[in-house]
Amino acid sequence: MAKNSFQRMEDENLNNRSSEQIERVRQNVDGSVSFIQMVGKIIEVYLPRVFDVFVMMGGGKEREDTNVKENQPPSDGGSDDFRRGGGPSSPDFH
Amino acid sequence: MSQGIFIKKTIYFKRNIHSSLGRISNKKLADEELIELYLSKHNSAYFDMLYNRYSTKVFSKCISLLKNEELAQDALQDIFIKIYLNIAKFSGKSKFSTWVYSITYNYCIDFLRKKKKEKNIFSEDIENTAEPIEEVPDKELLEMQVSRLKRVLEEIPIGDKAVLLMKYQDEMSIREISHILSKSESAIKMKIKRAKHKAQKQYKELYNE
Repeated sequence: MAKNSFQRMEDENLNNRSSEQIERVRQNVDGSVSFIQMVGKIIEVYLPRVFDVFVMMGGGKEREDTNVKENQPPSDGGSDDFRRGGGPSSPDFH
Repeated sequence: MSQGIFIKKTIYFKRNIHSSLGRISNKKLADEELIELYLSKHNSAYFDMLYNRYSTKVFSKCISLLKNEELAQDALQDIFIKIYLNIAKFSGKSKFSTWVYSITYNYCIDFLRKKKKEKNIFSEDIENTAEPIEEVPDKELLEMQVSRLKRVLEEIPIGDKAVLLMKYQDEMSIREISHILSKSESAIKMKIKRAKHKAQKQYKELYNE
């Protein structure tokens, strides 16, 4: 399909653009994106811990593992994950 | 770790990813597929592919609207960070290119509005709709010499230039333009009509034709 004058004007503009400028901006964008990702990950990983620290500083107790059954052997009503969780080995398991 | 070292490491890491994704980039994926892959795999190489596709066009639009290469570079950076932060919100109702260009136009218009401290670049014409104007055939603009068109667009107000670029360069529908500028479809039709009229008038003044 033939291009109209507006599209030909855009083509001319695109041909005159140096790829160096675009590459420079790309590096800046990459840097900013990586920085945002890093901050996001820090918040994701450490923020819940920060709350715990404040609670402990205020005299509260550290959050307990709510999934108690995970830490018990199957014979005590716990799950099979007990072994994967690093519990003591038992002759029953072999 | 300082941001500088982190960025260098990231760039090195990305180069490796680029080579491993060479196969994918050779196979032309649709924008929507790239977005889906990027969101599911969180691999920034996919975002880079989108950058490669649109950065030059976005940059060209920024220069054309802002008339300054340095400002356009800053705008390009800000626009792509905006795209990165909002890409998960892209619903696919419009083409990805339309979405990218809408962010570009809105960014440039907001920037110029703040710079000129004008409340609304698009308000003047929409308020004065009573004055009758003649319809200019599309052909007159679409077949104009490129050098002359450039000159004419430099002389008309930025709001008029923006709607003409959206309509004739990006081939957006009236509905899409109205959505981008948050105006009614009838207001946009009138805005385009007036912009064409101004462009024609300017052409006659510049070239005595």
